[in-house]
Amino acid sequence: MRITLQRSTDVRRQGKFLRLGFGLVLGCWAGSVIAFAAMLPTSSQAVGVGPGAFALFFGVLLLLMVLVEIALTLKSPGPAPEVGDGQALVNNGQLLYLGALVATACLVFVVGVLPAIVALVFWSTKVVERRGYLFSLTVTLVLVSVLYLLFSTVLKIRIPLIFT
Amino acid sequence: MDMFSLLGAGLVNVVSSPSTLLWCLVGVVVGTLVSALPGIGTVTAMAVLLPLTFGLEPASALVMLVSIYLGGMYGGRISSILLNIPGDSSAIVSTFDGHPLAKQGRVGYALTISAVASFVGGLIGFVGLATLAGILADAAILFGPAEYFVLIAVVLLATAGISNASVFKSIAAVVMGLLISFIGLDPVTGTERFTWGISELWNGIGLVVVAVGLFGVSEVLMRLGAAATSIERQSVKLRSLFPPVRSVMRYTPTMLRGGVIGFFIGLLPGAGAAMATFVSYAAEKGVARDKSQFGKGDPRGLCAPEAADNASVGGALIPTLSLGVPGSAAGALILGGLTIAGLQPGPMLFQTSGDIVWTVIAAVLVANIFLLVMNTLLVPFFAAALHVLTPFLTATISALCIFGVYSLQGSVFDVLLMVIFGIVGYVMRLADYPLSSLLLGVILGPILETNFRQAMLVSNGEYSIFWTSPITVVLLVLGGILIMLFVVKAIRVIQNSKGPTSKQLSKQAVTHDID
Repeated sequence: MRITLQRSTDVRRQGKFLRLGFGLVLGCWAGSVIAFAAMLPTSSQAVGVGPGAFALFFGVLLLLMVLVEIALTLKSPGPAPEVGDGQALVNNGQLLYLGALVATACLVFVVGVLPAIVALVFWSTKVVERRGYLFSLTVTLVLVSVLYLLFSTVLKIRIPLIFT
Repeated sequence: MDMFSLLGAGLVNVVSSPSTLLWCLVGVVVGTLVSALPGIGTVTAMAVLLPLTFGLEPASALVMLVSIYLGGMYGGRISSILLNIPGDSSAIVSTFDGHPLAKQGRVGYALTISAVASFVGGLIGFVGLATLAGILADAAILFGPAEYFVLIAVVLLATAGISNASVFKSIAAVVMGLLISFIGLDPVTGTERFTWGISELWNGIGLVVVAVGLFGVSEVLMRLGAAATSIERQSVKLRSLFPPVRSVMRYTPTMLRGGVIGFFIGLLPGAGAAMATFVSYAAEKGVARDKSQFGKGDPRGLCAPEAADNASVGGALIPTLSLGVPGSAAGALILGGLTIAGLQPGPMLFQTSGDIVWTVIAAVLVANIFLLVMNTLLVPFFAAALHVLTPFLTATISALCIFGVYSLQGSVFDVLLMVIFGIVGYVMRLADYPLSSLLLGVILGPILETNFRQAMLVSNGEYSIFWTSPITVVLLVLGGILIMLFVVKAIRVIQNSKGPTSKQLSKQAVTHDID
């Protein structure tokens, strides 16, 4: 369903770059799928189609759709370069959380899941949501403890305390 | 056994099991709360809590998921009416007349009449589900692999076509999901596909990891980007929360119309509760003699969409339970719940696990009763909860997502994948690509390929198997109509891309598509 918002010109300009960038990434991915699928057998005596058939077909379809979207995005007129209001598509809170997510994804391999969750929850509350230290520590301890007990005791799922 | 005996047995299973009742209650509370909070959707709640079902009994797990789904339909109207901010995409239409009623000082009235409308819609959805699910499951025995292949292809086309995103983005999202589903070892030949030598990818990427990342993690990022909302407390007197009997009688025809429209739209793949609310609102306005109060606090403008979105749940559950082919993200997650519970989705589900399926269907009725009571007498609690819970949402969703995904296989690699999909989901939302289409592609991809291969085996390599049976012919005609619609939409998109000049764009309204 559609809702109509008034968007700033800077946000729309950045949005256009984002759509182009995402389209290029998708296009590269589609190209790699096509290249890889072409190396796989596309037919099989046993089941008619080999492991590469569907992947090749859909890879080509994705590439076509992405190329059309990129062309349409390039063709669509954007706001005049001199018009802008300083707003950003992504704000500081989102960037801080995004960085924390990436760090968490790396941390889980080093220190384990539980310490990584503790770090993410504390960072989200203290830095992203900008709460006080005591509040953030309390929320982190209570929330992680409750969820750890829920998963380990109620649902009987083993979650190691540190990485082993 | 006939439908009434099966339903009765299912009802006994729900009512006589304290754990099933408890998880039903948990589901309706969570669904209502999550949907009442602006910006957090029902699908997000289902995705984030899906891993919890791993440790539950199959019946309790599925009952919880369905209860969250139903609770989500009730809860969205709370912030629509109180704050003029839809809690969910299915509650957008409720703002048209719900908030004006609140501004007229009739908050309690709006909340209760909409709760009753939701209940009536939920009952219609339940009756439709109980009546048609078994019949469709019996008819689906006639579906062979060729019929299934064509059906799934049509469902994917419909999902891409009905979405309000650009037709090219919709198709791209579906295809992305299909390609993600092909990652892993080919089930027939054992060939590695797109694993890049990573052994953790040999079993493919699980639906839960994709769903939690796409909907849970990206939701947090979107919330952090939304403007801070000052939530004004609206006091709701308890006396005003009892359903006004005269109004209920007066607006019953509206509720019934909305419910029937919602149920049939819920059946359509890709349509969803949001579409049901818009269509029912338009239909109610169309049949009304006096349209002057629509948009200004006409109770019919609130009752119709509320009945429709709840009835659509029953409609949406039918293809998911009877055919094993979901038509929406919520249906895909319920299918995921079925798989986690060790049940085989498809028409045989009614034969092999009929007691569980009828328990779930009966739970729709029980959940609706819980929701009617909660959403009339306990609304002040939910209104207060909007204030209390908001500061903890980012932390809670983050922790739940990681705990949940890790609990599936004890794999830290799944956590990494979840983060990747979270970032992808966020970028997709900013770039207006529909997430539901990707999720459906992930779940239907393997079924599509497997059925195609099985059909080729059965027919000894003859492609004519796909257009010889009456069922495939009907489905192919539907598919052809959908492709023609795509072409028309595509031509319109290309023509519209020559839009206004850059000077005219200094402060232009831009449409957002909401899944």
